[in-house]
Amino acid sequence: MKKWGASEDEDSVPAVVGDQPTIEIDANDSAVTEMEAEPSGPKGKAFQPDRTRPAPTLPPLTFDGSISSASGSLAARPSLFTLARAGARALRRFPGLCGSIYLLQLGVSLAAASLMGLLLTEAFARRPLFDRAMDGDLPALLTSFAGRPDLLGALLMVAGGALVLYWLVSLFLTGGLLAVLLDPPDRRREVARWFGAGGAANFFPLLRLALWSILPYAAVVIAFGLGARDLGTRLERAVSTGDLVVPLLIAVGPPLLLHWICATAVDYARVDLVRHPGMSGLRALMRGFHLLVARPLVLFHTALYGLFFAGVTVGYAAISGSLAEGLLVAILLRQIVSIVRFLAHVGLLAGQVELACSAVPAPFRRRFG
Amino acid sequence: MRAAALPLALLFPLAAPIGAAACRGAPDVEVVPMPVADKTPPWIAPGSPPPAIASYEIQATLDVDSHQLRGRETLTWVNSGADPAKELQFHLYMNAFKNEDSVFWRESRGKMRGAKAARGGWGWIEVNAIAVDGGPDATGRMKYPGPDETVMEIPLDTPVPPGGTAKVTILFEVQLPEVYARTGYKGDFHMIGQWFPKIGVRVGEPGSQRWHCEPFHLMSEFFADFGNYDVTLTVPDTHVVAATGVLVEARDNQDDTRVLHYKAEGVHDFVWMADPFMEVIKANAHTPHGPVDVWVYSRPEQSEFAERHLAAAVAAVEGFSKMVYPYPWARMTVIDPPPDAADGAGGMEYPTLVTTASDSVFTPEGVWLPEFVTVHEVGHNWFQGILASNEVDEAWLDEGMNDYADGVLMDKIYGEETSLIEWGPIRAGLGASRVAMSGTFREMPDPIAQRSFEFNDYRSYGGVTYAKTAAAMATLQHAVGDEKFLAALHAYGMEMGFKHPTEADLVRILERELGQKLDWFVRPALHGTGAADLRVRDISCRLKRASRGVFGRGGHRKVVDAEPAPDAPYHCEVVVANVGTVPVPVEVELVLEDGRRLSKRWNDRGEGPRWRRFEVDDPQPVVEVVIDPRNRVRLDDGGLHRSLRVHPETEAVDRAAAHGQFLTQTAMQVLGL
Repeated sequence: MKKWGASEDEDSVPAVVGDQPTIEIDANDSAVTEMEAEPSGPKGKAFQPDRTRPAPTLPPLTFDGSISSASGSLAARPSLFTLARAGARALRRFPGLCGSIYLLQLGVSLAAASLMGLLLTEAFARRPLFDRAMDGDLPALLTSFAGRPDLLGALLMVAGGALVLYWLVSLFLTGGLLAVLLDPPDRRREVARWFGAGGAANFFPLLRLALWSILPYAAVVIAFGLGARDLGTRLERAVSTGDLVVPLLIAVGPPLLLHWICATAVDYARVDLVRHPGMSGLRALMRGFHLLVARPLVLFHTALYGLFFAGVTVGYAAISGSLAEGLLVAILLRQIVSIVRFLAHVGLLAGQVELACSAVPAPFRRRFG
Repeated sequence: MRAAALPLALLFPLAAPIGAAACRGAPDVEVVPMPVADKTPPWIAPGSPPPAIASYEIQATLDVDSHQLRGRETLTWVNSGADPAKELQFHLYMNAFKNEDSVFWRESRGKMRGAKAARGGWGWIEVNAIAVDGGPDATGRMKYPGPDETVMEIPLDTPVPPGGTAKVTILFEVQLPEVYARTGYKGDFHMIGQWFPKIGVRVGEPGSQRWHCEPFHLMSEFFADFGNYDVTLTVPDTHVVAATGVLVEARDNQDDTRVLHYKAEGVHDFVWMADPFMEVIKANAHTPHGPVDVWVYSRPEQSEFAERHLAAAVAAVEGFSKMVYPYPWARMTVIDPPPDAADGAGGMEYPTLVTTASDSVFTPEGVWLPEFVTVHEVGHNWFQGILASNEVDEAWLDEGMNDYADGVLMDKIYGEETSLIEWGPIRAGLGASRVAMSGTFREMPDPIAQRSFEFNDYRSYGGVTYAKTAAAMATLQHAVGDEKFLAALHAYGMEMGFKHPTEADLVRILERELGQKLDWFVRPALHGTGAADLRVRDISCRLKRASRGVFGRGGHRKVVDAEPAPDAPYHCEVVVANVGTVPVPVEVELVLEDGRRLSKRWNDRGEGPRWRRFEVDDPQPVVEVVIDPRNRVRLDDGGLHRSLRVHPETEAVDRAAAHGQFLTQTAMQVLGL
């Protein structure tokens, strides 16, 4: 039997004195699995996170001895503000980690850009027509690429390759980041090791989860296919913005809605996987969907991030056309936009961890436990 | 339950606009105000209209529910040829939409310019009675000599002698198709063109004259004689009508119908539109013959575009009146079809009435596509309406010459580099865009001067007849001089107005006005395939010095191994070539290292080699060569190869790579962490 109790972590809340709540946990419950201790590394304690520890900012569970409480009634429900605050805390607490991940992302995109630059240099560096194209002369742009019909495909392949590579690397990065957020190491200098071990330990579980998520995302694709059947004709006949909005809403609304739901469920499934090693990807995904029903707040939290991301991107696109900035200034502005978006994403993950560390809803456990 | 209901509640805000859109039906149809008759006569130019060869008096009634017309036509035809006419041939264009066996259907497979025929949306025309010069009904003697029912022939008991007249009375009925190829209906909108039995044209040399009355092909338009039209239309009083010519009378009947009487003079076609929801806005265009009423009809939801079309139409009437021939009619009418009919009915020209298109949320101010369509269609009133070349045999004399001329006008109105798009950081000139988007001319398998229905396919027809012809004329303009060419074009218009000119007439007048033979260009450009293909082949520079080697003989032999002097200039050689099929004089700009630009000219008219070497001695080396720096030689496939730098410069490439980096990073952030 395992007892809930106060953690020795510096951020933990002290245990309640007096009547100590004791909850018996079935050792066969696959939701909680004791991990074997990793062999010690060269320094520091072994990577053996205590994933059953509740969220540091929430008050501990209360227990009044009744059966309903024993089934794990939901205690502190974090608000949207709490989740946002958790995100900000995480950013303040792990700036180096966030910075390192961002630099990796930047590095991959710069590597892709360098390859693109090589291809473009070979094709256009000695062709003054391309200079006019980059000054906004549309016929010059069309003529330049018409003269090198293979180039566009090559550029897209470079970008596509970078996307696939980064997506795979993201599985590692997400696993590592979640491991650090779920169970912050005692000492700052262990963050990197914690991150690396967490990423390695969770890479394949997250990959399996990604494969299982093809199922719900297939529904998104089907919804888009159904909604977009007549979209081309309707867009062609749209005379005003009003004519555009309704067909777009019909075509894009339902799949966006489904994507919103699926993405949120997958996000929480990831947290669950990192939190409960050994859990199957399918089970984690189902638990993720169940959480949406039990705690619809999570949808708003994700929506907030999505709207922020879109708003920052569209806002930059809207003003960039009128800015007569040079190349360096443009690059700087774009990196500011990218950093802001990235930090928002990290904040989202931290908020998701915060919520996931509150009690797991019991009915699900009874049905599927 | 409460928690589960929340996501469902999120769907509710979407339901309202979706429901509203689904419930939105057509607005209620009401009686429209009685139109006011025009005070001006249809012809405002001094003197008379051209001799009337084929004049029509038509009374027609439109049934808007069945989309059918019943008509009575009296044709007064004058045999203007040198041979007697033993039969009369008529176009029955509407039978092109009768079934899948028609020539038009077989060539188009039910599609045209992005519009598709609706299943069951057939159209036809039937002659119920025909009598010549008061004789008995001759429907039993009607023949269909062509491969389908779009050409009808009636033999004459008494041939019409040269200069003689035949008066033909025809009763006909028409079923309008659902519009996909210029004529027909869509919902309540009716665009009624090619709708009455129309006599062919007598062509050929004396002694061998024949009827020019081709079946209705996909890739051909229309050719007819000039005449006067007197047309009376009976329509429901709920419908707004616009038609060729001017309105001379309007009155209401007791049975909720309205009778509208139109007249047009010196035209070769009559079309009209009926729609219950159209509104009209008006302005005046000022021409040498006085003010011309310009009217634009559109539905209320397109009113913003109507203003743009009106401004473009006024500019076009005024511009073409100066450039080609003063507009001789009192009215120019522009119809802006509703969006669901625009693909089928939009973008077409008729004398004094055109249909426009390109109203879209994606063509805001600054994307001048709606304006371009209006200018183009109005421009046809000169090349198709006034000059009226044979569009079937020489479509380029209308389509291509018009495309060229409206490019000149658009450049004048909106600027040469922004005449198509001037939106945010994006700019595009019409001429350059047309060339960039039409593909390479060498891949078009047909020459410009070819009968329209003999083109390989519609893509070739469109690319060659429109874009390649416009490019050829723009190139010729550049070769001979802008002002001289435009003056020659004006002379062509003034001399050949209402005379159905041919290629021979155009070339003859151009050569006369320009004072030079044009065969070196006309033969390859109009009668061959391909285009120029200008390329910079080589740039080389070295410091000038004395020649090295052994000089002299015998005792005077010496070895020279000179180095360049410290202040030696550069000797540069630049080789440009034209590896295409069309020669063209061209400007070549040599850019020196200090930024100076030297302009050279290669006066290539097809004599001599297909390349030219330029040599320059200068303290600065040549670092860049640009052929045709002002981009005036449009009939060219050289593209990227028309300019070359000695040393690579990466500023533009770096900007492009930076765009790629940001887009890739954004996608990475969407897909991953």
